[in-house]
Amino acid sequence: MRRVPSGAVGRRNPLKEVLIAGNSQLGALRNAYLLDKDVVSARLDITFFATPGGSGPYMAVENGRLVASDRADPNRVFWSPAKASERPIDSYDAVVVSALGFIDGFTNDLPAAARVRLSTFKPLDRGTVPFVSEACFRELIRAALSIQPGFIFLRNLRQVYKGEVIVQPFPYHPSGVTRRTGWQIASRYDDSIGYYKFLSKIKDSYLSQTCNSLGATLLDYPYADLRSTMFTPEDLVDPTDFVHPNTEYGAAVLQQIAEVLATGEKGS
Amino acid sequence: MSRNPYEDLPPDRFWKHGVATASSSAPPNLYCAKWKIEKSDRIATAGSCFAQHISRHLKQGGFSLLDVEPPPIPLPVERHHAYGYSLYSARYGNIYTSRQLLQIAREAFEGFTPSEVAWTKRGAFYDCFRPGVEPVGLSSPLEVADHRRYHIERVRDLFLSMDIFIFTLGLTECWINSSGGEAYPTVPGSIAGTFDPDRYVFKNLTFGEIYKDILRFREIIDAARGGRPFRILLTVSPVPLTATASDQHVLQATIYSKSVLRAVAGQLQSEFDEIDYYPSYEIITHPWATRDFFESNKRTVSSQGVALAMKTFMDEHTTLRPSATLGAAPASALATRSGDVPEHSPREAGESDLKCEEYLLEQWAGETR
Repeated sequence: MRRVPSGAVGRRNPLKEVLIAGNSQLGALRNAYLLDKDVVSARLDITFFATPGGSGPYMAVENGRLVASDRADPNRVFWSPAKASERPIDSYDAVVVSALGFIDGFTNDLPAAARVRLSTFKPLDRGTVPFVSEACFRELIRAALSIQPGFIFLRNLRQVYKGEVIVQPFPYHPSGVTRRTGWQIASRYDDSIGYYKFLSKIKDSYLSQTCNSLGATLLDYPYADLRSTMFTPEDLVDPTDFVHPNTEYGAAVLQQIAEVLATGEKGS
Repeated sequence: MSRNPYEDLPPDRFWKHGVATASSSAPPNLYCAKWKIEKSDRIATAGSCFAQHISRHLKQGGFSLLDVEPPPIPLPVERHHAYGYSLYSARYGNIYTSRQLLQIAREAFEGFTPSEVAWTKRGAFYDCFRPGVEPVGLSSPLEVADHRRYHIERVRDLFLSMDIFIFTLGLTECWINSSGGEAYPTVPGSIAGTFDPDRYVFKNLTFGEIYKDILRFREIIDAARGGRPFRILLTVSPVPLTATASDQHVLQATIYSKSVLRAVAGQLQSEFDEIDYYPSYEIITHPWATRDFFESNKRTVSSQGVALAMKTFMDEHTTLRPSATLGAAPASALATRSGDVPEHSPREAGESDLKCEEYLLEQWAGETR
């Protein structure tokens, strides 16, 4: 099913120099950029910088340049184009932090969430895992997000970079996640969907407040119905791994970025 | 000429040398412990809010303070107390009375089921035996019951694994359920719940009742441990009553209450080798001290008072002073049943960050007193 992304841009604007930094989720955006020369490339000249790691990117700004932080695997640091690694960050019109707000890795939970239980979502394990209230859980997850490399990078970036900072939220899980075996959340909660949505709301709220406080622009999810369903339709997900969004999703995000830079709106 | 029994007594047995001319604020030899607390002794703490000072200083002093419900990581340290973490060895909140102590032991080991568990406030539900551990409450009575069941499991493990139980007696006055007889830490209607005079009645525990409660508590724990010994260190909170529901002036009610508690502690100390008493109450409240150890509200113990009380305690049990070991507590001092240790040592809250439901009562009462 083809969806019309919200905030599609039709008008022409001056070419903007954009740096998109992120983890493996950034792949969808780069593939879309390479394939879609007509719609986006005419308005955006994009440099990509990626280091794998869901809670990343493991990056920092040092001496005016974007570098991989100590936590990043030096063998898995990717620039596109490669020569951009020496480019001063101030030379970009905007920096986009891609896929911020990792809360669940399908087979590996966010440790802060896995160490506790929420009674309200019918936990399956009966062991010594402590119960916490939803209020405490919210604070716990917000604290866990705040110390993720991605958010540390965002705060670092905002301190030293005066241009436009745009944040793309980490995509929701595919809608068919419950049919797949190995989803850790399903092994811990009978009401796994309810729990996942609760977790996602905390992430969305934290992203919104953090971006507001830092003066960064938070993109909405690229399709209008995603925020209500809190799942990514399966036809927008890479069928080979069921974790990463596909090129269509990536193209929709690029359109949102173009919209923000053209009009200052979030593209939702 | 026959000598009288006082002639060979040490100086601290005489008021002149023990108090009147003593140079320090804490009279020398005021605390001579029956038994030393070793660093390897597994210590559990509970009691009224003054007991939080004891927990903190023991932790800082490198003692093996048990914490069977440690704060989840990475909940910010400054939020631990709001959720009842890092105050005592379990998340039971303040246990002001001997009756509360007894009933949690009965709940842990005798299958005692309280007649009610959840109180409400603004649509949220609170554990009526520890209403202060969830600042905005829980979503349903069922959730309260789930949390309490887990808590009681942890308390059971705590009582089975401890070597020393330090309990600070805080109050004689309490509110009890008229049908079930359970004692609550706060009056219904203050933090949560609704006051119903037909359902909740005032109770001022007597010497005999408190004495029996503590012995019964000891008996239950002893039985559960299969005779494996443990020791009890009693203290009496020097913090005056915020308010009294008795028909006496609050000063009279305070002196009465503290006197009864002090007398019970003394009685138990004298009767049982494994029960001792630490005189923090005397250190803070004795009127001949060179300093006033209360804040301007005449209720909150000043940081100097706490420091002196805890120095006296620590000096007796270790050569290390609390100030010399600040922040140096090994992670293993926060052992849990599973042997897990928190990944970070919590920064301790300041003296003013005590979690005290009684204080809330004062706010609730406004200017009426």
